[in-house]
Amino acid sequence: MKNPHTEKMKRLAAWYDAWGEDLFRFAFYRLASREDAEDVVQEAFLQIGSRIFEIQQPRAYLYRAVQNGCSDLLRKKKKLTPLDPGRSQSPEVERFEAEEEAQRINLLLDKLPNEQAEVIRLHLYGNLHFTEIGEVLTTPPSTLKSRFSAGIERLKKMLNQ
Amino acid sequence: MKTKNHSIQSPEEENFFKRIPEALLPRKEIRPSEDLRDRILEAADKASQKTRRLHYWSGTILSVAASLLLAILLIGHTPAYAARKYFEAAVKSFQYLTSLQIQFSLRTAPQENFDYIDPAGELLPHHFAIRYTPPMMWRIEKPGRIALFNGEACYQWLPELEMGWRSSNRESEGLIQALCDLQTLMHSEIAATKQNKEAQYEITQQPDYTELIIQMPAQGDFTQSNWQRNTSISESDTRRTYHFDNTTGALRYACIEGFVEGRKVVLLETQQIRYNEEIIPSALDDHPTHIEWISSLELKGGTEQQDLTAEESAERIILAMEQWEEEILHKELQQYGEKGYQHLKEHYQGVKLLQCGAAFRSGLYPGYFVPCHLLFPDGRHEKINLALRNDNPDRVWIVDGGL
Repeated sequence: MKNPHTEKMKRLAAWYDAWGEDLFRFAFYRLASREDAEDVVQEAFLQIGSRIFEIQQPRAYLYRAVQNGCSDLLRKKKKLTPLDPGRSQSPEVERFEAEEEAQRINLLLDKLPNEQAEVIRLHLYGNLHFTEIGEVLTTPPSTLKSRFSAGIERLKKMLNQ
Repeated sequence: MKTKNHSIQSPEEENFFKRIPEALLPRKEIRPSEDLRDRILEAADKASQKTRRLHYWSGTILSVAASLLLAILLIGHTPAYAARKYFEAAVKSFQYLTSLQIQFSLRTAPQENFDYIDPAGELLPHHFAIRYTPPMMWRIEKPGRIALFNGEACYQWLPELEMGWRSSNRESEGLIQALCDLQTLMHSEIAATKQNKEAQYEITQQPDYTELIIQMPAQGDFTQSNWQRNTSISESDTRRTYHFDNTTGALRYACIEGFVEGRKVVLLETQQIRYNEEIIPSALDDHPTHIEWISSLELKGGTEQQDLTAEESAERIILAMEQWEEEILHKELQQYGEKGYQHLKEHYQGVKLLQCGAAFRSGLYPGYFVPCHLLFPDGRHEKINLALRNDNPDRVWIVDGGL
């Protein structure tokens, strides 16, 4: 017999090991903040933990939860004025560079329609293949590939100008 | 993260990858904090400690039906004469029922018993069906738990855990009893319209139905309870909404909202109520044969515990776990069945009791909760609230949840 609690913890640990880092990166390249990305990922795991025996597609659920968590956080942050925009709160140089990198990439992707940017983010930073992205966004892979290509071409044009 | 070394699934994807501008590829690798995994698991563990109490066949920590009845009956006088006629009409409409089917959502946990309600839980779909024509049969399902009465015996089981309980008791209790006999609920509402002083009634006429909203304040002072405080319906302010059919008087919709710590929470809401549709008996009586059925008649406690307090009993049980004293634990953990017992043995054998707190009661639960701080052989600590009850003819303590 499986103890529900033990089973839940076992599943969460296995899912973190399988997808935790990719989920974090996906969130990080959306939020450009390690703390925020980790908070969003943790919240996603807590959410799935509360309904662990009902979820049929845990990976898709987690990516959706992280995606929604990022959107909510960005929405909230828009209402706040940063004290010192452009500077990371973190003293570590390495992290500062990584966050700068994420900000740079975000500036590029923010120029694309959201549906194209989301596919690119899930593919490049969330490490998902198109069939897997299809499960997250409930969209056929062929459509996602078109969106991806269109987004990439658009970016290339912008970068060449 | 996609990098130039990333594994490519197909030539098509390779082609996609080649087209990605360098500008989109991060020049800096980023990884989550080393301790993120542990933090997540610790937070998930803490979150589930709040609700980790499997209450089995006889466990009725928070009786929805009893709560409903209390919510209705315990409050003073009401001027709501106008509301009464709708309940009376509903009672009449129930008189000649041959069957009833209700689809509803209840805020609860999947494997908890059907009487368990948790305002912080998920709204889980439930389906209840009853056939009134002899032999009377009913069935209720939610994700994680199913129960039925086939005219002779009650079966209740947890499909995922492949364990269940069988009882020859014909008397249902709690939520199931309330669903089987909606007339009683309506009678309670009628009584409330005669007695209640503080409830507020609001009636709105719609073309097909009449909406009746009742707002009732919480009853009693439950602030002394430090566990599941104000989480049963009777312990919270409630707002109940009913829709009655303008032609037949039948109940078409019900919604119960609780005001928990200033927040309005839907506790129960019906999606569909169907009357007098034919229900095939075999559809209600479908239960698995391969699972371990525990008979409630076989549950017996040790008479040596009769003189113990709840704390002493909890202490005795946990101490017995250190050397795993079969003689004591087989009796105390009988609610869990043989499979559950073996699982508990695997999990708790060798555990040491660091501290046992004062037993406390909570809500409508007929037993006690005893806080216990445990130390596992691998150095892990765990705090549990062991649920113990002795409301049986022999007055013996039986572990009812918390492990």
